[in-house]
Amino acid sequence: MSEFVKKFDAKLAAALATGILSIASQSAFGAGTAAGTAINNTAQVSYDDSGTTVNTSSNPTTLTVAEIINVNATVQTPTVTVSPGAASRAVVVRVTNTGNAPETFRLTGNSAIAGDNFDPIPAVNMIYFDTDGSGDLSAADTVYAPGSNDPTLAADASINVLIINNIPSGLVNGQTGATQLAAAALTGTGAAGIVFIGQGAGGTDAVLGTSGGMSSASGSYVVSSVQLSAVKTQVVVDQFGGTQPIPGARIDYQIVVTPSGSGTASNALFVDGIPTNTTYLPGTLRLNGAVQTDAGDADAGNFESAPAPMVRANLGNLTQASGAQTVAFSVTIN
Amino acid sequence: MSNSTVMTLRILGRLGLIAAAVLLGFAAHAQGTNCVTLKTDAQKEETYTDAQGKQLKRVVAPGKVVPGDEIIWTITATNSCDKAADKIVVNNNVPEHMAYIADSAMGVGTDMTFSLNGRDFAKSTDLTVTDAGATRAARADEIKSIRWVFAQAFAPKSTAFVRYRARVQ
Repeated sequence: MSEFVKKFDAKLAAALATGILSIASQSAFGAGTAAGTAINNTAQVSYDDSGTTVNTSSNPTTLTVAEIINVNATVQTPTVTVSPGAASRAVVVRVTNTGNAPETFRLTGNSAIAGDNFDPIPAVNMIYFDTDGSGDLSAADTVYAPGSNDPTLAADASINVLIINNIPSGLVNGQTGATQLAAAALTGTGAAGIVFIGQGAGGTDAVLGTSGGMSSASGSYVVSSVQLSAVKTQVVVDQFGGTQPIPGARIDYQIVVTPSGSGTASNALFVDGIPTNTTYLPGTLRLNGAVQTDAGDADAGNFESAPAPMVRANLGNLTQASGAQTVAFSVTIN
Repeated sequence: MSNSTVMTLRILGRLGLIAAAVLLGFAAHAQGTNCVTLKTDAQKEETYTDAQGKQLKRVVAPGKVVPGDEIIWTITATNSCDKAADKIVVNNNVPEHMAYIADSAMGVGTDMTFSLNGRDFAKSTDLTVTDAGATRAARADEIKSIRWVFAQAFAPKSTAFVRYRARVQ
């Protein structure tokens, strides 16, 4: 189901309800106070000495913030739909330096994960940086070479990494294969609390945080030989009988979802965000020509205003035999 | 003689107090310190297991301090003179890069007040912040300063401490 939502995200570039795709939450402190920062404390006291108020200060106490090494890897694409025999399919993992100083990380990929149905076959170059931010392997992406371009991340900075695998042939629908990326701090890894003397930023000591200096995240390839494609078209109708996209004009959207190949896309859910600067026109949602009420009720479609305005339509189980499904709705330009 | 002692004497002189009082003051200050001295200490709480396998907590030297660590600040006031010191007020600004932890301030025999700006002090429950036109109770991490007013005078050679916790941001 979320596969299908993602497909729409990519193909329609529509604003999706973030709630559906939200992934991991951020760490509690962010990076925190930078390593090497001095925390100074001086207390004051006043008292009465024979009728005179005397003010005096304490000794200054200084704590120097040490480097904490922490890293958090989170998968950005928890499941990736693939067809059997597909080549160079990417799982995206974000590596974030959750420590308080710049740190360099060594990355390793692993596709021999227990508990899945098949082992994806690592590509010759298994790890790439998603240099162009496309979320998929493209010519602009830089291949990762351990020891030569280990990423150095500033505190709180993150980088998106692609794990590239080929998918074995001869798989059946619904089978899953997991792949994993691990990021390990070059300063060192181990139990939380271990101190690396003098190896922190600016000559401070470095302390391993709760992550132990390493973190891994895995995503799964899900075999689906049914593919869903979507084509979105729009027609602008302004209030003066023309086609100018001016405030008050109506935009009629039509999205045609076409299943192809073998297999079944189970409980396919269509989600499309209402574009910013437009307002959904109540009562305009249609599925295959049939009006859908805006309320979340027995019919397949509804409009939701939170967390972000969107229309939804439950397309049910789709096979190639189901044929094209047409969703239509209208908005007005604010 | 420290600078502050010189200053104290100058103030006493300016007030035109009688010579005896000046001499008494001088006698007290001649020891090289103010009557009341203050010391701040930073510590951490750690959990340890005793010989019976029981989990206990103790306060230890801070060691390595990293973001998220909770520091216990202890401020000790000592009256080193041979006379009582009255109207003792201890003030401490929560250090930069640290956030005060709610309800952690303590001081036996003191009246504790808090400030969001270092000037106006009130009970922590009376502190409010105006946020986008709405007034709300202040959060602990917005407290910038803590004040302890001792109710009783310090007897000669006596000492007392106050304490609070703050987290490294």
